[in-house]
Amino acid sequence: MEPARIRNHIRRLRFESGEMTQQTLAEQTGVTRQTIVAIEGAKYSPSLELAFRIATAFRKPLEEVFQYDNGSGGAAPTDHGPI
Amino acid sequence: MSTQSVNPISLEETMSLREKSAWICLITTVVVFVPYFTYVFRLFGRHDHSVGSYIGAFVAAVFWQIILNAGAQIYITIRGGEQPKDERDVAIEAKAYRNAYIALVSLVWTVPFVSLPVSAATGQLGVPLLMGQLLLVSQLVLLSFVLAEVAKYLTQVVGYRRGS
Repeated sequence: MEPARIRNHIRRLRFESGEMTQQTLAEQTGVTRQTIVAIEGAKYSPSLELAFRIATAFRKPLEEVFQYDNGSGGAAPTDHGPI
Repeated sequence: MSTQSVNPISLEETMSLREKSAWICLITTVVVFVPYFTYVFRLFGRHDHSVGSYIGAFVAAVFWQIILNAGAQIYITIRGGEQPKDERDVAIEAKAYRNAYIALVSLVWTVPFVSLPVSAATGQLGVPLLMGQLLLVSQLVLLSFVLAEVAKYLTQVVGYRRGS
């Protein structure tokens, strides 16, 4: 199975947001805690809608929470086009 | 020797309600239908073609599956609380239904190719033994449905364990 190519900074952002728990983030975004665990561990790529909900929970733009890994070792530019 | 204290996360805590539910369905299906098929194929092997025995075994299997499944589902819901399905649950479920469909279609096609040699090997081929052949075909079709269900639950538990 191909590894997820959407990288994220959810763990760091949770700690920067007053040590927000996975359960709190899950409740704010309307998913289960296990789904947050899977997203945080890059095992599951969320839908665009859920990605926006997570970014909104952190009051950050989407590209500060998620990055698309284009396979060349670095994240693709995020200033043109959706993830 | 390390003296560092570890706070272990129990396996139960890593599972969502839907994952627990999939495990319960998988286990109850295996626990109920393995003895069921062992029993009915033994009946067939003994040339016992009394429809009542087969229907009785099937009713008993369905009854026990309902009891075990419903009991366990109620228990985990009371223990963990109601959790609505989220998009990951829906994605895993869709993959599970796809695999179950593939399993069902593949298995049902093999029923004629399995039933004829088995009937011949056990000396139960021919018009006078038509009831036996019908019973065998019905059990093989039922086995296909049960294996498709198992494929569905297996896909779900593997999907949840892998995270996607």
